[in-house]
This record gives sequence, structure tokens and C-alpha cells, in this order.
Amino acid sequence: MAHFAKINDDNEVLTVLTVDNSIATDEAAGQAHLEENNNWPAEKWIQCSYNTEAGQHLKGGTAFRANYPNIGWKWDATNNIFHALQPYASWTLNTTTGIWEAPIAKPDTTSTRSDNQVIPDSYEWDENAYQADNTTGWVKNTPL
Amino acid sequence: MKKEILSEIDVYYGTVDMPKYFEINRDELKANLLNSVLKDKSFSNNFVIGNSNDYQMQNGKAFYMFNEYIIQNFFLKHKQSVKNNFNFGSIFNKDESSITKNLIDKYKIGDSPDYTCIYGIEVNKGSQQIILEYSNKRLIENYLNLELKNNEYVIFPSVLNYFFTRNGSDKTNTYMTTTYDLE
Repeated sequence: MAHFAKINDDNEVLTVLTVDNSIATDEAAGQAHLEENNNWPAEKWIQCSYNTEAGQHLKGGTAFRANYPNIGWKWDATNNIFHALQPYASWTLNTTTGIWEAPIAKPDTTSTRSDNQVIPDSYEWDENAYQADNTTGWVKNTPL
Repeated sequence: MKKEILSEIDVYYGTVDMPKYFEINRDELKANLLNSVLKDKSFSNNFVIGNSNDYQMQNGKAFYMFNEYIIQNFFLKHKQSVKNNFNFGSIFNKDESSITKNLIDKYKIGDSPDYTCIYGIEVNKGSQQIILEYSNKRLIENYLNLELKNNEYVIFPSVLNYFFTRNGSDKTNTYMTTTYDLE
């Protein structure tokens, strides 16, 4: 099945529908079919890949348009990618992976539990902290 | 001190903003409604008190496009997944108004809709208002006055009483009401 995202004038994804591969022999054919049967302009049906995530194809194939979109995600025609909404003002979009990236890399630290098991630490982004001091931003979650 | 919100009176409104050349065909909706008027297909069910202004609506292409728009934008903007329940059209000639009603069947609460949506098919400017009754912390009867223009809609909890004021113009006003259940 071929997957097509229905987008509005703001390039927001409204839904994703499937079209049989025998009909959607290429993107234009799928778009024409969807326009005729779903009352929505052909150019606002954008083909996407169910198995593409963060610029990678999950089954080893060729990634297509960076991400399989969720409802509310954005279609970026300039970069030919689907991406989520910007999570924080300081984060920038990687136009290859379609992933928003923090201005500072997340710390890669671990903690050792009382049973000697080593686990990765959990961090959350604090935009206010970053805006006050752009050398900080990641805040370590402390276990309850 | 902790706070819990037991209920909220949420009202949504806007214009049906469709892509160019794919606008809602309001002439089709009006024709469907007038066809029901000519055939005297008045609308009533367990939820809706029989009202001389209400008529059945055929679910044609324009209805389908409107319904899709509401369902998809409700989820897109408010993360509420809804499905259509029942629908009808209303027509108001000069000097006509409606009775006060809500769309809940108190004997079949489970089958009643959660939201009522009213869409302006053809409304003469400044001629008629929709009045929603609601309670706040002190007053049981507060009134929200709304005036729909062509291609505008308002959505509100189906438990609210509402009515249409007198059509003050010489021309006919037409509306479509669609209802939705939360999923």
C-alpha cells in the first residue's frame, strides 16, 4: 500500500490514507485518485513512507521524506521532509533527518543503582535555563 | 489546596477554511434542505423536539466535506477524536425564531451526542443570532450571543440549551446542525 498525507494550506498533516499500489503507480497517480475520491486537491496529498523514521528506512530500504508523519506534523516542501512541530525555540531542524536538535548535545552519562546495575541518566530540556545561560539547558531527572 | 475541574463549557468556532476550488458547496447544502422542505421531510428524533424549522438533510458531497473538515480539525487543533452522530437542517423565514432546546435525550444519555455544531449555510448579515444558555459559578442562566455568517460554524456541548432569535431580514436564513460523539 502507498501512504499519502493529507495536508491543509498551512502544511499541517490532517490524516494519512492508503492507496493500493496498483492505483498509486506513482505519486501523481495516487494524488489524482485521492482528489477524485476524497474531495481534496491532488497537490495536497503528499506521499510518505510508513517505514521511514528520522531519515532512516527501518527495513533497510531507501528513506523517503525523512519521517512517516503523525497528525499535526508539518510538510516541508522546501526540504522535502515531514517533521514534528518545533519543541523549543532554540532547537533547530535537521533537514536530512527531519528531527529537531538541541543547541547543546544531551549529556551521555550513566548512574549505578544500588544493585550495581548501570543505567543511562534521564535528562529534560529546560528552555528557560538555556535562554538565561546558553551553556546550560539539559537538566538531569532525579529519581523520586 | 488542590483543584479538580469536573466539567468545562468549551465552545469552538471558526470559518470552514478549505483549499481554493474545493470550498464547501453551500448551494448544494441549501438545495438539499429546500428539497426536504418541499417534500415536507421535517426532522425529529428522540433527541430533538419536533420544530417546524428543522428538516432532514441528505448526506451529499458537501456534507461529507464539511463533516471531514470538522472531525479532522477538531483532532488537529484540540486533540479530540469525534465521530458524527445525527444531522439536520434548519430554515428561518422572515420573523421566524426557534424554540429553546438542547440535543440530549435524558432517557438515552449514552446515545446522545457530546457536541452540537451549527453551520451557517446562508445567513443574511445581522439578521439573526444563536443564543447559548450556560451556567457559571453564580448564575444558572447566562447567555452567549453568537452571530454566524456564511460558512462559519460554532460547536458547543450538546447539553447546552440554545435557540435562534427572530430572523429580522426579509430573506430566508439556512443552517445545518451536525452532532458529534467523543471517541
